Amino acid sequence: MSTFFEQLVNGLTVGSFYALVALGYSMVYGVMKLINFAHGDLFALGAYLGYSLLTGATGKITASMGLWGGIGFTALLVALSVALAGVLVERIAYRPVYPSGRLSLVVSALGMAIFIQNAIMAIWGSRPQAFPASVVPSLRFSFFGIPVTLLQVTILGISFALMLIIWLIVEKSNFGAAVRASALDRETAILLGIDVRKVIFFVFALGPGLGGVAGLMNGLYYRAISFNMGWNYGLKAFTATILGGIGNIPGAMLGGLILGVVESLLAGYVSGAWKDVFVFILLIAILIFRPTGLLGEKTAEKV
Amino acid sequence: MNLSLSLLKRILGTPGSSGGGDELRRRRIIGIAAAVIFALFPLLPFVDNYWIDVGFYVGIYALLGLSLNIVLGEVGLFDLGHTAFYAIGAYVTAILNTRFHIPILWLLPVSAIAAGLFAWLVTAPVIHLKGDYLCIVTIGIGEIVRLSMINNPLGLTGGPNGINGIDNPHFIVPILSSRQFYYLLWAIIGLSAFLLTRLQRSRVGRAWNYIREDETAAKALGVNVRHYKLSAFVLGAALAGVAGNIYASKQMSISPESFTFMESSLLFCIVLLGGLGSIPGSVLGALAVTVFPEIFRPFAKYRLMFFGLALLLMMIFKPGGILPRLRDSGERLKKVVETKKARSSKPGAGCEDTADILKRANSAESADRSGSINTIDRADNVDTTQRSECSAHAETGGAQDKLLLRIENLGLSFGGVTAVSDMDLEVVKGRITALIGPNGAGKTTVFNIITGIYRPMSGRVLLRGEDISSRLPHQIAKAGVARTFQNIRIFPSLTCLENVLCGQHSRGKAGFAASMLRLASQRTEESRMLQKAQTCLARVGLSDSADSLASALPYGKRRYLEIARALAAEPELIVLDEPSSGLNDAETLELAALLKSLVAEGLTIFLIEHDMNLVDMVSDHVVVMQSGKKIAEGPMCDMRQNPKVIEAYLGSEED
Repeated sequence: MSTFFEQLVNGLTVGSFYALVALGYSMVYGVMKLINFAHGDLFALGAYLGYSLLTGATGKITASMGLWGGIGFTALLVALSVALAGVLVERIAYRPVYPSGRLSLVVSALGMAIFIQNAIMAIWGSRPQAFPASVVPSLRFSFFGIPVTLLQVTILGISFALMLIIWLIVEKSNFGAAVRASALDRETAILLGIDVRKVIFFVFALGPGLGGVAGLMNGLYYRAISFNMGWNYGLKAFTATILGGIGNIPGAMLGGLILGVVESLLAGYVSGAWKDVFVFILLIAILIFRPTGLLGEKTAEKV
Repeated sequence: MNLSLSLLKRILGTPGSSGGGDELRRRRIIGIAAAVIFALFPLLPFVDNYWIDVGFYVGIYALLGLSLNIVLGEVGLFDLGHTAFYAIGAYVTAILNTRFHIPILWLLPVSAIAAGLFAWLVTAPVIHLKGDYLCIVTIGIGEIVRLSMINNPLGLTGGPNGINGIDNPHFIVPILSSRQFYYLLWAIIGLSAFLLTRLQRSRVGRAWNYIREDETAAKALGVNVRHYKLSAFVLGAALAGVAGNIYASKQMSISPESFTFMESSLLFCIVLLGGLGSIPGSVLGALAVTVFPEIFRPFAKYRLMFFGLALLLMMIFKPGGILPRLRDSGERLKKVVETKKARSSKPGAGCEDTADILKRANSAESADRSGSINTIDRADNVDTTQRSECSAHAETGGAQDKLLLRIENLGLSFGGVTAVSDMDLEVVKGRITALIGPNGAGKTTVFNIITGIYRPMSGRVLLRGEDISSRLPHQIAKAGVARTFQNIRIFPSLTCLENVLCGQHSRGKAGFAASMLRLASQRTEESRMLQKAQTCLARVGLSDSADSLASALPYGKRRYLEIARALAAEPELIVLDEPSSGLNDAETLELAALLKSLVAEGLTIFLIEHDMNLVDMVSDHVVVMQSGKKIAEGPMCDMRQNPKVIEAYLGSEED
């Protein structure tokens, strides 16, 4: 039973990365109807920026701020820079191509993804890098008999806090209503006086910002990072988005967490090597029986 | 000024036309030049084996590009996992060759069949998914295949290291050198391109394009959407399997690294760079994607960065691709199916044919015009004469007329909202029946049930006494019901003639083999379809626009194009959803004349209409709906006095 709970906590931790990245996919998809293929690579960019901030000369600065000060400062800086990168991606790769239709956007997104991935490789090198050991002290303690590490608690704490904030913004605030309205029907939203450009700016800053923080935490958790890690995480997170219902904010969070947990349980009980195969089979099965995802609403086709 | 403008237009290619003869000629010259260059390239003195191999890999990507183009370009299905089929071909070849020593070229068809079969198995359950959902499923399929290869199931795939020691092909002589591989591959590409071009110019290729342009319209006009989507996947996968076979034997070893998501996205880019649905475009796209990183090899680690940037810039400045597909003119489509014999033995036979059609078309048009004048005259008299004869006109001849369509007890609701309930209705043969009612009454829903777009929850739809309520849209179209749509659904990037040919789809039967081999039966059928389509275009007065793209038509003419398309389906019942909306008064009168003349020829019309003048002018029988129920029926003049109808439109007096 203890392995079960260990896998569960592990799954929730990985799932929270997926959830944070999935939020970015979902928000962008909602407003732009675009799969932002560059999003996974922005996640990788977050990991690498975090690596740079925590090692070398800058590592001394962050270390001097104490444990929580240092992590908080790094997370903030990573979030801001990746958010900026996200906004730039929208300006450069999507805004000029938007009028040419969806297929061109897909190619433009793929082009941007290849660009960012190879830019990371050009800057940090093609060999994997390692985060410094135990930035967060490797404390283990028991939570109702379930063994958890301080790092896991930290990651889950930050992730759930961020998700709660996003949920409050999107579901409860006026601006969130504008975001949801733009996602439902962009044209009508514009006619109703919603500044869709502001909404787009918001989703392209917030989504990558969250993804960047997830990248940083992923680096802290697994330590090893590589320039092409974005593809795989992006794909998983996008799977989570579809699982929860694309364009649906709580769905993205739920999808991410479920995917993480299912994955670790599969790895723990069935087979580590085949877990990704099972995940994709599960995804296809869900799409066959519930094409709009777990929380997505069924809509009748308008003829 | 005028001259320079026309010159500029000629250089840029006129938008909104199917590409003039000039553009066609220019492309043909470029195409021949390119073929010569490709044929001579390995023989040039300064080309070493390295560059011949680059030419070979251009070929692999070209073949893969052509294969993805079938799925993505022709049918518009987002396939981002196409590498899976390529991998299946390569692995089938590798496993069967290394274990059982079956010769590589024997395995060529085996790989194609295996990949095609695999595509059918994995896409059949998901083919109904739309756009991005299908896209993510294909990504999933790609990953499942790649990960399975890595995990070495049953020790077959050799895990991450893959399989080594694959034989060379043996075709008369053993194929060993770079040059021999180059020619083998490009010969296959040439053959594939030739056959695919034939498919493009056939009933099959057009059906694919109809689905890409507007799936709903395609199925309502008789295209079996599921069949054509699946067949595109199977054919595309088979071609990718061929590429896998040749790749494996050239490399002599394969590993899962060659079949990543990155490869699939590269193929996606090849098709888009070249131009959606363009065969020469796919080859050119492959050339760009392979040669670009080669040229930038000196910049080693920055080259893929540049490549990403180049993709992006292409989509900003030339989103339609480098060589977008030119649509064929009617003349060209005709020439293609004419037999050589007919052309040589009867010089000018083709011309006579065209002249004949034109003559008939013209007479049809003029008859149409005179008809319209007549009806306009009659229409002017409507107020004075018809009104007074109202009740006399009402049910004359109703009894002996035959029932064509009968709706019984129809009901449908969406998530608790009742759209139609307990609806009964009859459409009599050879008459115009109108369905009217305030917005949201459920009229279009009734139409969608009749044409099979929706399935009713209760009740039946009987066509000539046969229950059609559980049939699929394309089956209903074939049974003799054609329709138009409230918010026009034409196929914008096809020519008007091709739009109308869609109606004829269900009247033909030429399949893949017949179209690729251009059998005599296919040619006769095709020229019959073309003739019918041209007559239908003439019927609505659009002969002049036959070769221009449908997107170039003004709004009013698009309605006529839709009607011509429905007529081309040779229906018994034609169902029109608000045909007059967006038309001005003069155009509405023309429409009324057209409808009347169609009925005079024996057609039955059922229409939804908001323009009461039009309903008044043309309809023999009117059914009024409100809130999903029938509230009244009878001749229009009775409806005008019916208190229930007045209440439905104007609200009750107590309000």
